[in-house]
Amino acid sequence: MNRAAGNRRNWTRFLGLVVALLLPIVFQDAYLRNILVIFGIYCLLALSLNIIVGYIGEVSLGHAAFFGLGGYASAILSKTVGFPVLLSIPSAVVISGILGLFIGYLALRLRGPYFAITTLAFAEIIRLIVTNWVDLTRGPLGFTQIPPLVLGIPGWFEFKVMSELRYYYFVLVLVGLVFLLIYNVVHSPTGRTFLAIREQEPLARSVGISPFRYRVLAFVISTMIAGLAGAAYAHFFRIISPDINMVYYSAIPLMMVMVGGRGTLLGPFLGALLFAVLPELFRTAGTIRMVFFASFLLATIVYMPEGIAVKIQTFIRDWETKKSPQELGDV
Amino acid sequence: MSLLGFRGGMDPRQNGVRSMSLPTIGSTSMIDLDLLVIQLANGLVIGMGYTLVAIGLTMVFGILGVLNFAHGEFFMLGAFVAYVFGELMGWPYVVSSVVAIVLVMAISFLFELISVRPFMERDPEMTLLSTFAASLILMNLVEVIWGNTPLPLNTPFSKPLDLLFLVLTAQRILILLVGAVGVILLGLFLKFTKMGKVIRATAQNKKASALVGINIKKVYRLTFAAGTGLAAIAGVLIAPLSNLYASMGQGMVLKGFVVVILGGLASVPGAILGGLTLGITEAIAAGYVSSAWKDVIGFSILIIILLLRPQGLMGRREA
Repeated sequence: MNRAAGNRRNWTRFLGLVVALLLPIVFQDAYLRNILVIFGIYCLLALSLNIIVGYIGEVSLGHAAFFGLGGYASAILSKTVGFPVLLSIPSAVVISGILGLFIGYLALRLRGPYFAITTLAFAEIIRLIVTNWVDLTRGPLGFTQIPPLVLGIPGWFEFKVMSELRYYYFVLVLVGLVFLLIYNVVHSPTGRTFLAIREQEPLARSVGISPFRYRVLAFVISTMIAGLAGAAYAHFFRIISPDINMVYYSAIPLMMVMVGGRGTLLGPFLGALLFAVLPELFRTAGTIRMVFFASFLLATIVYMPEGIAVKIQTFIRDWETKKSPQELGDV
Repeated sequence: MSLLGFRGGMDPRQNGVRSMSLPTIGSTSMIDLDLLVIQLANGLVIGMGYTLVAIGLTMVFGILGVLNFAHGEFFMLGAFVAYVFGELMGWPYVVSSVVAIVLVMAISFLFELISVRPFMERDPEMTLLSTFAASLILMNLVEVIWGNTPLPLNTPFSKPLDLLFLVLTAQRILILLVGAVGVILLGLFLKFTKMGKVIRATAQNKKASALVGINIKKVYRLTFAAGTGLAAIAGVLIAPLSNLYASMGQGMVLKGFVVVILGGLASVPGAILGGLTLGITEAIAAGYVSSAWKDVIGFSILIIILLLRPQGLMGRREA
């Protein structure tokens, strides 16, 4: 690798950021900006599940539990209890993490299909609790008029993050922070430990790594991010119902991660983009779009099990490491 | 009343008292006994449905090592195909049911070809996702075609029969009879026919079976046909008790997992015992606690058993 390649890599990242900042200015339409916010929330969801599928190497079929819990926790705290939203969102993240610790501590003792079934069962239990604990969650009615996000000090300086444009930048900041967190974890000794456990567990064990502890840690981080995504969802749409806990919201992030490319940093973004835009294209198609998505997922795991990101990454890497004409001249 | 404000409290005694105070005829102990008998009978009926679904799941797992997340969809398809022939085309219930079961078995060939076979040699772990995707495809396809309003499936066996202790509709008795006959026939098939022996041999050792000339792929197809056929039987039998809706298979496959885990994976007797146990437990819970929370009990059992005895109640620990 040389300096030119490093520069090019920084350029690709910078370009990505500029595009993300300019998107809502290019798309003035409220409807398109709405899709952009959904895209941002899906990015959070996909980044979150990618930790479990890509770095722990297990398939979770119950991610909707944490997405829904984050949304409900923030909605209840801000609407019923009266927390400011700026406080209810982090609280929701912590609550999701606590549930993640509990479920992860139990479920991560199991592997493969057993882990998948256990997560599915936990998600069903949470869905049933949300639907039936009417006094707390208002049951199937859910919550409407959830307070919007307000930045600043109450009574002195207030900035309502309500419009699609403002909310998009808010979600963009969240995505950026989460991405930085994951990027730094992946490139830290902890991240290398994750990979060591995923690839060669007996070997990792033999050098004194406790795989279980690291797997639980990764699971908790993942569920906290899913809770954040749920809270971001709740304060954007300002409506929440038990629908948020349905299999759909477990299936969608799984598809995003698998189609985008599990275990990659780029994959979740591609998957989120795909599944934020495709439903809108198929809007009139109704339920049949789910048939398309699921077929898409099936086709991906048959023909391209690593996902789109790996294909694109090889392409970009070729471009990044391609020697410039001058360098070629030197040789 | 209850600390956490759960609707329909979690204390069975409280609800027992409440339900006893409602009817005024007879002594309270008589009514309690009646409720118990009725719930036991209902549990047995539903449990037979769970058993039929779970046997297919457990066979596919035992022979292919695949946990089929789409298995519930064959339960649902059985009911919907029977609806098409029975309600839309006006065929008699029994005829349309038999047609439905045969058609579902045919669909299972296609399912096996598309979403199981490509992964069996390359990456069996992927079947987790491929069958999950297939399940979403089938469920949403049915919802596209028939919408999401619950549909009825009528049965000629709706007359209540007065048994010695309780009154049951003929349909419920039919479920018990057909279920028992189906399970016994399957047992005889596996035990005494040549094909049954071949299936058992494959379940024991795939490589050795292939070496002695058994066509493994044919065994796979046959296993899927038998398993999905049983699920379809459960579908046509259970659907008249409530209604048909596209997502009915999703709930059922979860129950199937509970049963399979309860009975020990890859164990047919375990599936029978597990199915009946789950059915009765749920019915008792619905009668004495609340029907909204009965599913929570089933899933909690699943999680507890997975954590304490991953080999199931009947299964032996693998060496």
